[in-house]
Amino acid sequence: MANTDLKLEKATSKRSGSNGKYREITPAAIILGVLWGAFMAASFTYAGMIMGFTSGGSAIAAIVGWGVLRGILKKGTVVENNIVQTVASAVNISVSGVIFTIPALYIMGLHKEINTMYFFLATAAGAILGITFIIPLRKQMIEIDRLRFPTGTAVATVLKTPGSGIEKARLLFIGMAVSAIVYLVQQFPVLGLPEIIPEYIDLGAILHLPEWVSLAMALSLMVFGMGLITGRNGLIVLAGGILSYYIITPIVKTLGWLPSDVTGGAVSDFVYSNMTRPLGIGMLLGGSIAGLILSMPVIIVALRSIANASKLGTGRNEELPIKYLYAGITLAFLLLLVTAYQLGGLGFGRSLLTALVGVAWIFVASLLVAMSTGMTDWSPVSGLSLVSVMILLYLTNKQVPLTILLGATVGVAISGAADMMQDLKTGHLVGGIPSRQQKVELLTAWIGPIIALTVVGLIWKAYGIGNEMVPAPQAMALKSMVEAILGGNVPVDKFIAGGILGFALSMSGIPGLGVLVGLSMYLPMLYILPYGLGCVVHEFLKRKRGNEFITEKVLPVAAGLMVGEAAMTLLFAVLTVMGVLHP
Amino acid sequence: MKKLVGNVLLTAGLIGGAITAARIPPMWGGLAVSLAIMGAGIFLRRQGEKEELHRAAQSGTGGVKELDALLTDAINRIEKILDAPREEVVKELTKILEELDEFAEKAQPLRIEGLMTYGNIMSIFSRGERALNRAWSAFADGYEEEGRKYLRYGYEDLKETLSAVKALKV
Repeated sequence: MANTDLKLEKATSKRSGSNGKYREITPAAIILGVLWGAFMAASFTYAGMIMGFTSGGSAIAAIVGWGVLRGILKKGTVVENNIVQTVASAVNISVSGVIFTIPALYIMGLHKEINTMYFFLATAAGAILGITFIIPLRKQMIEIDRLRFPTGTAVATVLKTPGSGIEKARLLFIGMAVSAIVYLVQQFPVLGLPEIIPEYIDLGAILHLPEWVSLAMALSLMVFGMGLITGRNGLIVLAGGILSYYIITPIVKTLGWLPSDVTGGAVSDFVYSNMTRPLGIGMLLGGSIAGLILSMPVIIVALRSIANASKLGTGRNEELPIKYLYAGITLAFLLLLVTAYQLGGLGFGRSLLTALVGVAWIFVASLLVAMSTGMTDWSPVSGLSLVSVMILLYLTNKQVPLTILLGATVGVAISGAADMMQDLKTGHLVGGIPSRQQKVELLTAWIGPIIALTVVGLIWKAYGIGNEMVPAPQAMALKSMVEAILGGNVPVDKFIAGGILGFALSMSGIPGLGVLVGLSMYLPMLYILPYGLGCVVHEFLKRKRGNEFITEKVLPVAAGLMVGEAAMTLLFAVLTVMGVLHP
Repeated sequence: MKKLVGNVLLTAGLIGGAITAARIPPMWGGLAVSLAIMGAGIFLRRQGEKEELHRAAQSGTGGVKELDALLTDAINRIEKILDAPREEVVKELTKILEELDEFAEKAQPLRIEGLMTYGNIMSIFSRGERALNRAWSAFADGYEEEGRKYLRYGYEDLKETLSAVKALKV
């Protein structure tokens, strides 16, 4: 062991003479980030429309960055590689917002009503808005509230590995290997091989519990790893899940609040879909609005601090100037106003209202999704999309094409906000300069929508969308949402009741409690269980072995578990593009 | 005790509220009662937390005195490595950064004293922590000049944080 440490020491010392400017934003980092991000964006757009999955890909980009910058170019630094992963994920991140919305227009045959240029403008504007809206939130959530951002923390672990010594690198790679192998073996049936490890295990059936008790657990090491990094906050999500599934469900059943034809295994699904999930969405909203109100003093401090950064001596102005935020708000407002007025033919007053409410909603939704991913790594995008569509349908006089187009702006903005916060957390942990990270994101985020929209257009021409060949599950879900809202089939009362509860919980003094409990009701127990298990293990080890053990041992393993499975999802996306895999 | 009772009431209110709100349509009366229970719980919880923080500050086992001690220790240790060889700095900085994480966790209760104050302290502290993280990366990458520059920045920021903590009257 001592010998290998010595070798690493010597390898690092070889560059110790490199006392020039510390490499951070370099042409190599930007080109590599754009190329890798474009590759991931194309792969995940295709795979997302066929198989239904996407991924941010920051950690994989960090590993590829090391391979190319240090392995081939022999000159990469930690913060330079941070720029690689930031750019790659900025390019890739708009995919989920695009494939959730734009294909729905094709499925409904409404794409001809809108010039394709609007598709690009709406999604590119969303990508840029998501980044600008979180300028004050970076200081608030990362520096003041110190949210965990598990993916961001995992990526930082990957970035720091070459300088952290052999032991951490070994743990990271063990975690990666185990997670990748388990995922690969789980996918055997997709490859035409016999099932060895299932994707989930039904503990309820094993324990002979009544059929209506849902106790299935996804065997996902990535989700377990997320919990291992999250720790205490995740325990609240686990407790909320227990409340939802094992307290509310039996009480509701005992009180006879269910339709008579809902029996057996359908009980849990009914309660989740019609009762607890809508309540959870309401709690998320109420909790985040209360959080916003409570955080106002902190946001003011953050804004002041950003403004004061330029007055710091020693040339240490490392914050993106606040004028970028104002420019973002103005751009969002004008975009929504012009689109609603020109494309929707709404009167000026209604267009103005659409623009004002739209901007406010993008800010609140970005805040909520950033808060949620910061505390737990879960991003409630589909729930927020439902609320977005509901608001937009009302604002646009039920004009479906305009609603979906504006929905694309909102979807891309909120997924971009969450991704940017994860990247900025990584940046904080490796000592990246925030303004540099934010500038490269702003410069490159518009590339993703072009790639994703081109792939969607090509798929439409080649196979059509919404058929057996290209099921586009997310877009089909959006279509169902629109139909449900138009049919008046939306549980608004549950949203309101949940909103009140979430608001009250967030006033408790426990930061983000309303959002955490809301998330626990919104997420299926299938994923809460492995996630909660990870959190329990984290807390147990922290008490038994201390903080140092968590940082030195648990963190690298957890990061490896997350990265290994994420790498496999990319591999499967590529296999789908190559036609090797098909549902 | 107040905090415990507050937590119990908050949980009871949440369970009651979630059950009554889950019904189709929600039982608004039941929800209102649950919210009242939650409100009482929140009030007691916040009171209890504030008292706890003041007790800890007086006994010196937590609160401002503990934060003061943690920061002073970190500052002294950084002072010793300002001109130390690169390998030694990386090793020591790794440990200091882990301990600073503990400072951030222990500073959380300061929120009760006012979010503006807490926000100001954490803003300066985090700037210093980020500077130290950058110093770590630069040293690990072999960029000693950048490393020393940011080590010095981090050191100065922690001293500024310590002054802000000392100025607190808890």
